[in-house]
Order: sequence, then structure tokens, then C-alpha cells
Amino acid sequence: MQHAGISDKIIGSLNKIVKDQKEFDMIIDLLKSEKTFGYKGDDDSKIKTQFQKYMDQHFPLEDES
Amino acid sequence: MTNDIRIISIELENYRQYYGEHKIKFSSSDEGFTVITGKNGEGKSNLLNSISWCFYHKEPHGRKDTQVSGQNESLPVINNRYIIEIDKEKIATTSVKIQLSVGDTVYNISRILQVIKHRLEFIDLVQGGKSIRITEHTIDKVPIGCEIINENKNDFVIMKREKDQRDFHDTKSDADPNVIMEEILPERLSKYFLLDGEFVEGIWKDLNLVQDGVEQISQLHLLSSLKTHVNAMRIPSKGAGKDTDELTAKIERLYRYEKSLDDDGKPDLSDTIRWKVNLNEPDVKFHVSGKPRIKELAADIKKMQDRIREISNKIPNISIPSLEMLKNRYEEIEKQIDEEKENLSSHGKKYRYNLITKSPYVFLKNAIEASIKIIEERISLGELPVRHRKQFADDLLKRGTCVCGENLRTNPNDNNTINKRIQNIREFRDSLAGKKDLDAALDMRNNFKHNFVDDYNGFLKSNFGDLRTKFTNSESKYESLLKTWKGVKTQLKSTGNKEIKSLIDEQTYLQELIQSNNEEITNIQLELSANTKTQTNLRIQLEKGLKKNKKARRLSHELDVWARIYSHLETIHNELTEDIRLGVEQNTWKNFQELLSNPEEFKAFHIEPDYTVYLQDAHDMNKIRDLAAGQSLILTLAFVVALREPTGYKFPIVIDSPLGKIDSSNKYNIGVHLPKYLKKEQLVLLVTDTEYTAYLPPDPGYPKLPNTPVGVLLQERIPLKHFRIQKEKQGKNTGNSAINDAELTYDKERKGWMVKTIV
Repeated sequence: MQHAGISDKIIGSLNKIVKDQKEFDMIIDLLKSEKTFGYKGDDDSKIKTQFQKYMDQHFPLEDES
Repeated sequence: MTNDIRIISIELENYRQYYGEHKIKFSSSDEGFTVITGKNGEGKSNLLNSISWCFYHKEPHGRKDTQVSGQNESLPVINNRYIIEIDKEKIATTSVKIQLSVGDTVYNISRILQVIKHRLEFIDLVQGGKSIRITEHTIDKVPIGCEIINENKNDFVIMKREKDQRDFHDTKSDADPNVIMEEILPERLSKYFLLDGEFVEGIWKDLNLVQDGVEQISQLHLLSSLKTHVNAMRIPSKGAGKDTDELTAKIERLYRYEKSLDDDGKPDLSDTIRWKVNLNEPDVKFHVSGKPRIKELAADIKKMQDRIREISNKIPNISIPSLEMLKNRYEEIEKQIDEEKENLSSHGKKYRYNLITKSPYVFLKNAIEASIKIIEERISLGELPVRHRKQFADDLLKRGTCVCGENLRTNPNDNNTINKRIQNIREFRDSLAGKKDLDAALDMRNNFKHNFVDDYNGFLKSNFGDLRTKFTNSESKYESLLKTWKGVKTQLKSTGNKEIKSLIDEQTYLQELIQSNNEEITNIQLELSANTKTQTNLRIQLEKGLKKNKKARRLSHELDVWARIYSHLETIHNELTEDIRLGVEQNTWKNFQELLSNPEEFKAFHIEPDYTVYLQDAHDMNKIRDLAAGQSLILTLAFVVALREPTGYKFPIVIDSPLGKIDSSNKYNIGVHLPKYLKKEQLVLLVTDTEYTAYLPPDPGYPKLPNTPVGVLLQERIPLKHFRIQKEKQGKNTGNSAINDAELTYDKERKGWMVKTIV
């Protein structure tokens, strides 16, 4: 599957709805990690840390200014 | 790039009844279906188990089949003969290796179990002979006296070869093999591609399986859980200022209520113990609030309903001849109640749906009539719709005479004038291209006039009146049945039989508990709904507050991003949920009708937004819980095949003994239509000779039905690759099975079709 196991339907819908490339990439990363969380049953704090990493990676504050 | 997942081959080494090494190379996409035949108890279900064992370290198949159950409970995973033959203190190896492709990537997946054989223990069997004693508390049942040497390490390996690569590489450095396996073929989906009789019979009685099938295969569950986690990110850390901190604290409180979390973010459990079927089960506490509590209450309701059904089945079977009539009455009314309950729910849903979607027409009746009048006035003033004007011009040109009587045909004597008239009409016609003007309004006018205004009373009757009558009739019938049932229960209780009294008391108690749980669910849902509105308002205030605060620039920026991400996820989730559910519903119905020999028996198939399933028969009764075994299998096949398209997930389908309980006409239809649905897909059938090669017995309902065996019907339509499982009945290998290449041939001596081993 494209994008490491995310279904074509979801990717198709993302392509249609999310026009901003950075937002698109971020959602793909979030979905990929969500798959692993679902399997491992990680706790909320680990998930928050991981998500914050994606935020820093895709939307660092300097970028916005 | 294709996303098709295919099992390329499977290799067994000393796994259960398969002594030594055995390999099956499955059909490629051009080689059609794979068919593996074997008698009951020879190893078909364990072939299915070998796939589950290799992928997920579990062997769930064939548990209801007493033969297999008996074998698997008393036999070790390691082949019996092999473990006996091997020398003491030597290592014995059992393995299953599966080669699998996902698009252009190939995986070699292997699970290996190794033990050191010390001293085996035997038990004497009642029927004579001895059997190896096996361990009871290990995941893998191994003989007592054998020491597992590779438990939890190096026993599960996934090697990968991507497109254009020559060699396989170990994926251990990429991730845990169990995680990789979950990415390739998640375990929770295995029941939808490794189909056994238990699943096929149970799916329409446990509607969670329908929801799981649709949501998990399409990964809608991923979107749901991601939404929840992203929503949690929308609560910023405190410290930016007093005002915003207060708002954050309020949002946090509401969020914690929704998720039932304590102040430290840990699950908040109440002291109330959840209902349990068996008192020996350990106590489980309820969550305090929100969605987790709703989920638990709903799960308990489901368990209680199952217990109520169990009691209902038990009561008529208590042997008291004098109560026979009363018990029959009890059973009969209960069945009627079940049916009426389905009816009530179905009529109620339709009635409510029409109230929501069709009522606006009623409120807008005056406006609709006024609009129709305006359109008609414009038409009466000569403003024709574009398509009428175009048609008029075409007719003139075709007829060759204008309405004024002028000739519109080419006249050699007055070529210019006539041609100019034709040219004018053509230009007029061409100028209309792409114009709509009154057309859409006229369509709307026609639609409303014919279906609404001209027959207003008919509209009200068919959309509201009839449905309301059906709903209220059903409601009063249901209530009256409940009353009668209550009366019969009172009579049964007063007969003095303690067992019956206790069961009826339990049933009444459970019904009251279900009602109370339902009330609590409604209250929490109302609370959650109000909670969501408040959260939205607070978030808006918080975002404004943070934007004003220079210190909180980062928080404000991140909150903005999370809000956008959340909004996208919500849009995608809403769109896909509806789209996929309706897609699966339509495809299942289409497939079911084609596969079923008597499609007129059913009128419609619906999967409601809450995943309740309706299969309406000709009398509008929901038959989903009352299907014959064959119908249930066909509907399951139709559903599993239907899941593949809208969800976009193409997985292999392996079915154990699919045709055993199906009547001739439906077998015939499966043989004829299945190749059409799964032409390029991977289908592996594990079948007995009887279900596959026997001539179809006559079906009184279909006197002209050909008696062609299913195998032959399939072979006429799609290439087939055959294997035969055979159990040795004599010699050293007695009781063990072998898998051999085979072919479907006609045996002149026996005058019948056979799957014969190729020598």
C-alpha cells in the first residue's frame, strides 16, 4: 500500500480535501503512527510526545512568521 | 501500483498432523482459484490454523468441529510421530513458512518452534493405545518433557524483498515483526479472510462483526482514534495567562468527563461493578463517565440480551410434560416479539427519516406553489425552455417547412434566400448550446407538480400517513405481545417449578437492567452533546485570548494547526463513513441477489448508520437473525466480497468447507457466479469431496437445474489449481496427512468426478 499501509480510499479523500502539502504530510505521519499506537496500545503521554514531534517537524514556529 | 495481497506459498514442517515437509504453491493471479480437498478431520482446518499460527501465533479454527477440537486439544503443535522418533536431548523443530506478496513487495514470514526433547510422558487411552501428555499452560501445546528453547526470541521472522531488489533482508531493524505483520495483514481482520464455519454462522448474529468489517478494513477506525488524539492536542499547556489558563482548565474538565479521566489523565473508574454472566468471572469496574462508560453499558446490554435469549431457549427445554402447552406459548410469543421488535425498529427508522427529509416540503408548500406559478407564467408568455427551443429548430430543419409555410429546403432557383433561412435557424439552434435558462426550473416544476402539489394528499399519505400507521400498528402489536408474554411468564412462575421461576426472575431482572442501562446511555449522550457545544465556545474564546497574548505565540500557532488538522479529519471521516457503508451495502445486496437461487425471497438489504443490518423479506420482515445456513453463507460471501471494493483493501480469501450446508440450487449459483466476482482475486477453497465433486442432488424447487458438480462448474469458468490432503491409514505414518498436487478428473469406472493425486 502507498504511504505505509494507509488505505487508498483515505489517501484519495486526503488528496481531495487537504490542499496544503504540509498539512497533508502531517496527517499521513499522524495516521502512520496511529496504526502503531493501535497495535501497541501506547499511553496518551507517549502519543502526545510523538504528535508534538510532528508539529515541530512540519510546522515550526519560525516558518509561520 | 497494486495493493493486492496474495499468499504465494506455504511450507509446513512437522506441524500438527503434517509429518516432515509439505509445500503448497498457491495459484498466481492468472491461475484462478486454489482448491484443496480433504476429508473431515484430515487437516483442512489445521491448514487454516497454520496460517493463523504463522502470522499471529494463534490457532482459532475448527474449535466447533469436534474431530479437530479433539485432536488439537490432545495433540501437540509438534507432529506426534516426529517427536516420538527424535532422539532424547536432541532439538526438534516445527515451522510454518509463508511467502506473501503485497503489490510488488514479497515477504517471507516464518514462525519456528524449537524444543529439546527430554523424557515424554504417555497416557493410556480408553479406546486402547497411548497418547502423549501435553502441557496446558503454554501458548504452544508441546509434549510434557519437552523444553521450549526459542520462546519469544527469534521464533518469528519477517524477511522482505522490494521491487527491483534481488535478495530478501530481515526487517528486524525496521520494526518488531509483530508490528510489521499488523501492517501487512492485521490480526483483527484475519476473520474476514480466513473464513471458517463458526464465523460464517455467527456474523449475522453478532453485528459488531459487520461494523468491525466495514470500519477496520477501510481503516475508518484509524481516523476515529486519530481524531480523538488530535482533539487532545487541542488543549494547550497552561502558563500563558490567568484568563487563558482558566479557559484551558474548563476545557480540560469537559475533556476528562468525555474520556472518563482523572486529574492525572489516568482512566477514572467507579466503584460500580459491571454485569457478568458467570459469578466466577473477576469483577470489572465501570468507567465513571463519558464515552468509555457508554461503551461499557452498551457491551453489557449486549451480553444481557444474549443471556435473555439463552434463558428463552432453556425454558421450553425443561422437561415438564404438564407445562408443554404453556412453554410452547412462551416460545411462540417470544419469537413473535423478536420479529415485531425488528419491524418496530425498521418502521420507526423510516418514519423518522421521512419526518426529517420530507417535512420541509410541507412547510414550504406555499413557496413551492408560488414558484410553480412564476415558472408557468413565464412559459405562458412564450419563454420556452432551451431543450424545447432546440427541439423546435431541429424539427423545422427536418421538416423542411417553416411554421409560416415558407420552404426550408434548398431551392436551386433561389438558393441564397432559402439557405439564409436555414442558416438562421441553425445559428439559432447552435446558440442554445450550453444554455440552461428555464430547463432546470421546469424540471423542478414538473417534479414538484406531479409528485407533490397535484397529489398533495397522496404525498402526505405515502410519506407520513402510511408509515405512521405501520409504525403505530407495530408499536401496539409489540406492546400487546409483551403484555401477553408477561402473562404467560406469570403463569409459568406460578406452576411451582423452581428452575423455571428462577430463570424467569433472572430474565425479568435483566430486562429491567437493560432499560436502566439504556436510560443512562441516553443521559450521558445528552450530557456529551451539551459538553461538545460548550467546548467549541470555550475553544473559540481561548484561541482569541491566546492570539492577543504575545507570550503565547507558539501555543496559538499550534492550536491553529491542530484545529485545521482536526477539521480535515472530521470532513474525511464523515465523507468516507457514509460512502463506504453505502458502498458495502449496495455491493452486498447486488452480490447476494446474484448468488442466491431464489432472490425474490428478499426485498432489500440495509446497513444502517449504527450498523444494524436489515434483510427484508417479501413481507417486510427482517430475516437477518433467522437465515438458513446456506443463506447465511451466501450473504457472508456477498459481504466479504463487497468489503473489498469500497474499502479498497484486497486481501486473500481462504474458506474452510464453504459448501457443505448449501442446497443444490445455491451451490449451482455459487459455481456459476463466484468466478465472476473474484476473477483476479485470490480465493482458496478448503473442501470435502462431497461438497466439491458430487453431482448436485435434484432440487424440487428447480426441476431443470443441471446436476453438474460445483468443481466442474468452477473449472468451466476459471482456471483451478488442485491439491489433495490425504491421511495415511497404514504403515509408520498412520494418522498423519500429506498434501499432494492433484487434478479434477472424470473417473469412467466410478462414473463420477474426483480430485485425484497427480502421481
